[in-house]
Amino acid sequence: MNKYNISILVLIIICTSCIRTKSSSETSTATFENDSISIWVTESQKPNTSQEEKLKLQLKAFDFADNLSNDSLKANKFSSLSYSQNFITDSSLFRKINNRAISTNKKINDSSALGNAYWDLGYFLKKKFVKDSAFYYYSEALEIFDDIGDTSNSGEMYLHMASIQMEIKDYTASEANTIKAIENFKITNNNVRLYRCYNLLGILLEDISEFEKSLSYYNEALYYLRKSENIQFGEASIINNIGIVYRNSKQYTKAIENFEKVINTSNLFVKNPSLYAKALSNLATTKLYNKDTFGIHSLFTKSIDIKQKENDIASLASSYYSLSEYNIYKKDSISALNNAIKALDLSLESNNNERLLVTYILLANLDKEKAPYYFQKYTKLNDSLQREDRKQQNKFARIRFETDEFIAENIELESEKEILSKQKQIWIGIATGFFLLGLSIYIIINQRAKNQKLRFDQQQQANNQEIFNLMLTQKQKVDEVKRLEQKRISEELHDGVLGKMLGARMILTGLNKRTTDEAIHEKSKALGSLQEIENEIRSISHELSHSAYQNINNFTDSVETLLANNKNVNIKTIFHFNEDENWDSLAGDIKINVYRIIQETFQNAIKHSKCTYFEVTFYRNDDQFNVIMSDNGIGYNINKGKKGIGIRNITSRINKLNGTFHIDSSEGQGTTISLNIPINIDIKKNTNNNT
Amino acid sequence: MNTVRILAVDDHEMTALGYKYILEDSEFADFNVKVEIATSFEKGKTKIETSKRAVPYDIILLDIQLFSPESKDPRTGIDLGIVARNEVPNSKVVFMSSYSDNYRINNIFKTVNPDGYMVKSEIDEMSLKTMVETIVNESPYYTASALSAIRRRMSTNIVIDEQDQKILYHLSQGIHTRDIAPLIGSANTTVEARKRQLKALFDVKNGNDLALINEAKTRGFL
Repeated sequence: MNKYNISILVLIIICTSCIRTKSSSETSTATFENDSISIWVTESQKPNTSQEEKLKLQLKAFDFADNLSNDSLKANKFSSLSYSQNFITDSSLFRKINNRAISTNKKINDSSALGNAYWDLGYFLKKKFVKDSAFYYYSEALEIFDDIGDTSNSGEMYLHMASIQMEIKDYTASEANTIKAIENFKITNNNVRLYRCYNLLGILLEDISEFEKSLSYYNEALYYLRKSENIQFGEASIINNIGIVYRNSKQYTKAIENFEKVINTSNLFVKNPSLYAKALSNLATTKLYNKDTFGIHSLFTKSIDIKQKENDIASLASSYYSLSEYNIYKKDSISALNNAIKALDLSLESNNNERLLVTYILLANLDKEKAPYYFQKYTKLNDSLQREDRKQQNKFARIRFETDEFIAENIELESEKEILSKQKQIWIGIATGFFLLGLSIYIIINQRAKNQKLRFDQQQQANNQEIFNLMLTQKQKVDEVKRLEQKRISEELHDGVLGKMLGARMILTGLNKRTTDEAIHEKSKALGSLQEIENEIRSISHELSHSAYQNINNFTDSVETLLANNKNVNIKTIFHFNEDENWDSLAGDIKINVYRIIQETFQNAIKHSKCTYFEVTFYRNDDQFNVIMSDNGIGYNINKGKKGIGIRNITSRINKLNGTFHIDSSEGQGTTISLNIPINIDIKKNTNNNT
Repeated sequence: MNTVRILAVDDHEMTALGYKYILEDSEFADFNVKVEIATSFEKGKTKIETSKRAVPYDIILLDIQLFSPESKDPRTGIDLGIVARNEVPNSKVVFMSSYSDNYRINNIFKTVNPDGYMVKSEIDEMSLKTMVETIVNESPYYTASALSAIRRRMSTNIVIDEQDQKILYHLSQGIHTRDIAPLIGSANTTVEARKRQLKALFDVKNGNDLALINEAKTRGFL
């Protein structure tokens, strides 16, 4: 029953320790202010300063901060003022300062300071028992600290929220928040705070009668407390709490042991008489429950004395309540009633509703006449308390829900963003894919076209090689003929002329001395022979000269051979050209391509036209070379059907020569193809077919 | 006084007559000269064959070319020489030819082994007279270029067979290697192989056919 006292005590410890840790973390800022504010603060802390003077100083500080022009400096000042709650005693002034602190920090986007400002506000409201608002600001602060990744402070916020939730009996939520706080503190390895968390958990579980778990949490709290450096009397208070747990679980002997341990803690009576008194009272109560009434009364009186001295009203109420119980045990109903009434008054005074409830029941049992009155009171109070609790719980749930919703919303936004970015990625991927696909298709097509061109060029090259060989053979033939002719002339000279001359010489030598008629006749014959030789030499000379000036045209010979080599005996071929023209002087490109075109056309004529007659005519002037090829075949409709490979080849070759060509044909009328090729202009350089 | 009987065979009548006039007008120490002429292969052959039954000629002068180039008749004075050797072995055979190439001369020496060879451009009164005198004294007679051709051939150690000789000759005539094979009745590859051997033999390195022919000429094979 005394647990409420203890809870409150623990809460106070929590709060003070919280202040302690915070102040230690922000001492630097405090000392940093070497200006008037810090002076005023110290001045106001002096014990002899009156309330009015304090207020004056506070207002001065506020005005000073408010008149600062620099935003960040202003924010800084308000933050520290808002934090110095010991200095600012006036609530409305604090609200004002805190409000400024929040707005200025929002303005300069200082999340950490903003979180601290919310924390200050929450703490202030908590002190004023405005639990829901306090909880709200704590949660705001938590959100900020979470955002900036301040694990330690967000753990602190969880812990504060958990303690508020415990106060309104929202045990599950409180436990959950405490565990979150523990998670945070374990990261930062803060033993004192961990101790506080486990302590709170112990209290929580004790309240819902989970004694074993509660004990283990307390032990955990002890473990962390001992690890931390400033133990003070925390250990004693935990042991006290453990004792209460044992007592509530009816393990009185163990409870007594713990309480005695607390009482025997050295210096406790001097340093923390309130805890000492509580332990005494608890020991007495436990002994009473254990039916060991020896020395109980003195314990109670001692405890009450100390508590009265310390003016610890709430605790005093519980002591009187226990004393009354003892009186009942001793069957001293009058004292019991007196003490119970005292407990009632003190409970009312301390606003301790739980104590009030149990006291009402006690009184109802003791004062039979007034019992209905007390029951009625009890019922009313209980109802209102329950209603209040429920309302509070609902409110908190709402706050939490809103926060959750906010978080959920954030998560949703986040996931939406993620989806969007994913979609973006997909689109980029698809676009890249298409781009690459297009690029590769382009490259493939380009490559293929290039290959085709290369193949075409190679084919062309091969063709040109072929015609070169053809013309070379032609040339060889000509050379052979020339050689034979030379041989013939040589033989003619050797055998004919030489022989005859020798004969003439012989005769003239032989008959040199003879002057007979016969000799004279023979001599004149020899002279005649010499004349013959003269003529013969002249004729040979003529022949040689003729053959030297005769044009031997490889080109036209090649074309002639081409036409003559056709296997189809039914086709008569005719080749017209002026033999006086030097056809070989045409550029190699022209000769080769024209030869190819004639070949192509001739093949087509043989294959398709069913002609009996194929005619090729060459004629040229100074800058034009014209070729006309005609047959008397079936012809074809030039406007019908797509161009065949033959026509395309002709086009390509003629284009290469910068020439033009014309096809004249109709069905049944034969076909005539005329080529018109410029001679003097430069042949395109992209061909290397010179023979 | 002895009479040396000579038969001159030449398709050019004037040439034959020229020999006749020159020799008959020449004065020899202890004999007279009587020259008969034949102006064709057939006539020459007949005279040689006839002489066998009567009195053989002391000296037979043979031209090699006895047909005009147009007639394409393959028979030459060489054939007549062979006939003379067979029919009238005691008659001396002297070739009177405008050919002065080694091949032809050596060929003649192989087949007929004549008692004399005169290159027509070197023939004049003196050489004709000397020739007759020399032959009558049972000595062979060669004009200068004929002699040099024979000597060149004899001064080399290189021995090539008839096939090689033919190949060289045809090559020197400007005939293509591939056309030589049918002329000598062997395969193309054989001709190529023999050509390579000849080049190695004549020490013609990296040379073409012209180099080979020139080398063969200087060494007396052509």
